[in-house]
Amino acid sequence: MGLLRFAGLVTAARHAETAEALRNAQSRVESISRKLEETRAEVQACRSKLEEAHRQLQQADERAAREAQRLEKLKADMERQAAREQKRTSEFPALELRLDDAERTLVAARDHLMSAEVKLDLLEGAANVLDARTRKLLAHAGS
Amino acid sequence: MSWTPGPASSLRMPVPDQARPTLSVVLTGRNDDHGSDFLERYLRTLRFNHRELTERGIRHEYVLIEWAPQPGRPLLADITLERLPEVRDVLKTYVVDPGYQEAMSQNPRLGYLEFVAKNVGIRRSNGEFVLSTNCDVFFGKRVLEALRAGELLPRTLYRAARHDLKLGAEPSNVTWDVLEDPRNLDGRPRGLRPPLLQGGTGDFVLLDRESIHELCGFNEVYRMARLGPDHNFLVKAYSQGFEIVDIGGPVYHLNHRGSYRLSRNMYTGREEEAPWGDKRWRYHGVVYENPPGWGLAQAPKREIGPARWRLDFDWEAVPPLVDLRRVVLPVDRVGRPQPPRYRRKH
Repeated sequence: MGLLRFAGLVTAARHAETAEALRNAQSRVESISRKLEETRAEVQACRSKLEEAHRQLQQADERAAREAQRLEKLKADMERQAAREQKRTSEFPALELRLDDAERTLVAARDHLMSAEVKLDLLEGAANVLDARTRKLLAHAGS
Repeated sequence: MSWTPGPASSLRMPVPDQARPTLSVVLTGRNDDHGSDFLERYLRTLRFNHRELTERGIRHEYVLIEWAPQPGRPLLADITLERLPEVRDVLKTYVVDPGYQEAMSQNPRLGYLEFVAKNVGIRRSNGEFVLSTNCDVFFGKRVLEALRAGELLPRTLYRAARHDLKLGAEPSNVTWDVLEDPRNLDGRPRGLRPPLLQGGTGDFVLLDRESIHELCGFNEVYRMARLGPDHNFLVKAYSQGFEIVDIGGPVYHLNHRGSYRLSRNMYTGREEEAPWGDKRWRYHGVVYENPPGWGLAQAPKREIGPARWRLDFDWEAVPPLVDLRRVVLPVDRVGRPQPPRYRRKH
């Protein structure tokens, strides 16, 4: 055995054993290569997912920014409205006074309208009476 | 003792004066058969009311204004004394020259200035209280009781609801059974609505003499309608702070042909042609200040018999044809009901 090893030769059994080991190693290399390919594909898929997630995150960020802006605007609107309401509330007593005043004016206007109507009735009645009297006098004078 | 006029007396009961009747009943009419059967209705009412007042010991006088009597017909005053001699001692009559009707007319369709005529009587009334009513109105028991018991207060205008009786319901001899029988009512009696208690007002306006003189009677400025001056008087009294009170019982009125209640729809759409004037005039919103000579105060008076006078015509007594300054608005209405909303007439 030593001589064969010295001469660079191996026994058939050893050769067969080594060949078997080589085949096994080759098989493992092929398996590892396949797994590597698979892992590479998985990594690629993960990267795509990551990119997609990143894109969605960006979009969400943009939406959040927009919503925040809208919220700010709404807040400002509400503050303006509250200010207006407060102003309006503070104007109520004055408005009520003006309403009372308008009602009084309306009543007075109505009263004066009635008075004017009665006076016009009187003037019309008097004109009719005087007209009748004049006609009677003229007819009497003419006959 | 006598009634002391002036503001200090305004919250006191009038003090009875032996020479002064408790009640003056102011009536106006003429013998022209107005509304058919006028004379009989008038005499029946006068007899009934006089009897009931007398039985209760209510000292009263009738002040009858015979407005512009038609020539050739017997005077209502003569007929009254002939047919009802028992009223001789309590009846004062004033016959008003027809010239006043013509001179004061503002509406030729109105042949009878009823409220000016009533003013003539109010002005010449002598009672502690003055009742302006109509010739066909029977006093109810509650009215008579209030007068008998001396319940009436000064500065208070008393109103009574009017119960209309059916045509033909009233026999010649009127009794309480006839008047108070609900079967004789012509429709459901109208209530008196506060604050003015208007409705059939011309049939019952009762007020102390001082107050009715302070108010200067009914409207003599606007003489274009017979409908409304009574309501207008309530508006004036109310705006001047008088209390308007339901006396608590009705008076009774006999419906008759020609009465407004039965013929009011005849002039729908041509209201200005109605013989009672245009009922749409603004009597609820405008009042008046009668001239000092209201009630023909300056008319020359000529005695034509015992307790009978004739008011002769004199232009001095005639108010102006038009006196617009005397059409005024009611005083303060704060806290009081408003008049109806303004509506166009035409």
